[in-house]
Amino acid sequence: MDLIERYVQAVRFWLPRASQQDIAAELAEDLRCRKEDSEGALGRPLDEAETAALLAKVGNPLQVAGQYLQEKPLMDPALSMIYRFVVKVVLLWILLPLHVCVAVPSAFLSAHPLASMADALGSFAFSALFALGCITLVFILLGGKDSARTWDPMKLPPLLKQGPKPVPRSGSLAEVVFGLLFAAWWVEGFRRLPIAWSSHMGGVYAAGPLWTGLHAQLFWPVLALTFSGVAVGALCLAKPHLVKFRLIYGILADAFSAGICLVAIQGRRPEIARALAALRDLGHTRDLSAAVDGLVAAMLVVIAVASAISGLTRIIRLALTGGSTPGRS
Amino acid sequence: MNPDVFENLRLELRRGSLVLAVLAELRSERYGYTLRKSLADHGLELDESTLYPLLRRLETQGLLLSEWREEEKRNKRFYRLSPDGAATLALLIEEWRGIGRSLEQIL
Repeated sequence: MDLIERYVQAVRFWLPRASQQDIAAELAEDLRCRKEDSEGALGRPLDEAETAALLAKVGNPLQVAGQYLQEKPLMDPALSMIYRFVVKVVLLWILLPLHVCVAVPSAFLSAHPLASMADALGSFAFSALFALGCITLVFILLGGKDSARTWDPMKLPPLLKQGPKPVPRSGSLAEVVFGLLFAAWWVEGFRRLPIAWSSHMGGVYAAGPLWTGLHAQLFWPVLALTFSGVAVGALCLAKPHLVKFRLIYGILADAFSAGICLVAIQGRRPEIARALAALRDLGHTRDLSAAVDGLVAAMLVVIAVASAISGLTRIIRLALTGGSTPGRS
Repeated sequence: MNPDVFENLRLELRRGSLVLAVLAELRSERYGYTLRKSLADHGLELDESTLYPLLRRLETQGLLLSEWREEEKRNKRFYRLSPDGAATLALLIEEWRGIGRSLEQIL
């Protein structure tokens, strides 16, 4: 049965979300009946190669899913399914969140929020059109290839676990506790350093110009992000099955975080370059403020990159699992 | 003769009659697999990727009714003709016979 389930899973992936479960359950039942009929005729169970031959006759999962499209596609149904998927991922799951999350903090921090939003809208429209053009061109070039018809059922991907794992309560609890601790530090304690480090470095610390400027610039966006994380953590602590919601929030939070870091880096390039240069002399300097500014500059870049990577990883996870729930079988 | 042209024409000819055959077979309730077998027994072979999308389309058009029910400890989706479907089938049969008579004279 494993091969049939893997086949149905492969078809299901390409089906419209609303009818996914229904179509997959019906197809699975038909394939089971068909297999049982063949087994009845042979008087023995089908082996894996025979099951694969049966599935090969049914057709490539992409072609089968393509038959369920409501409208007649302009290209081969199999290719059309991949085209739709790629366009959806690039436009809706990558370009749109990226632009929204850069535009919102930009508008927050800009003196002219409306102009900043209009710029972002124009930039999104241009990127979306450009991406759509490139994707369409690639698919037109691919149109001549007939690779969708040549497929091997034995190479179907393994079954995914049915239904997502609940959000771990320990993670949600940590999100709440550390979020609150961070918020308290962000509001009040950011001017202080650990005592040991302070005394090692000379004992005198006053927040440097970069750190002070950044703190003032990012105060509200970071606080909003932190409290939203605390709220989501608390919600997932009470309802650990909100896996898809948690994943989508994670994508938005990562994009927002990368966005505010990029905006800050963009607006303070010379200061950041100076702070990073000072960091290289950390061994010789006893200027605590310059050292902290250097670390902050480095952290800003690290957080922007880490958030972008984390966001993309979550997007891929969402695309692959879709926050799916157990199917009817 | 171009075999592709023939294949396309054959499929076009078949497409309309498949709807009629499916509607007629669903005067009594069946689930997908038994419907496919019954059509095959009458000489109309249909693959899954043609039959199930067709059933969904006919259901969306209000010509079929369907329900999930357990049979032999397995969930199956049973289809049957709706009242609208029955009326449409009667008209289609009349049309089909008319076309058949005309074609017989022409051919």
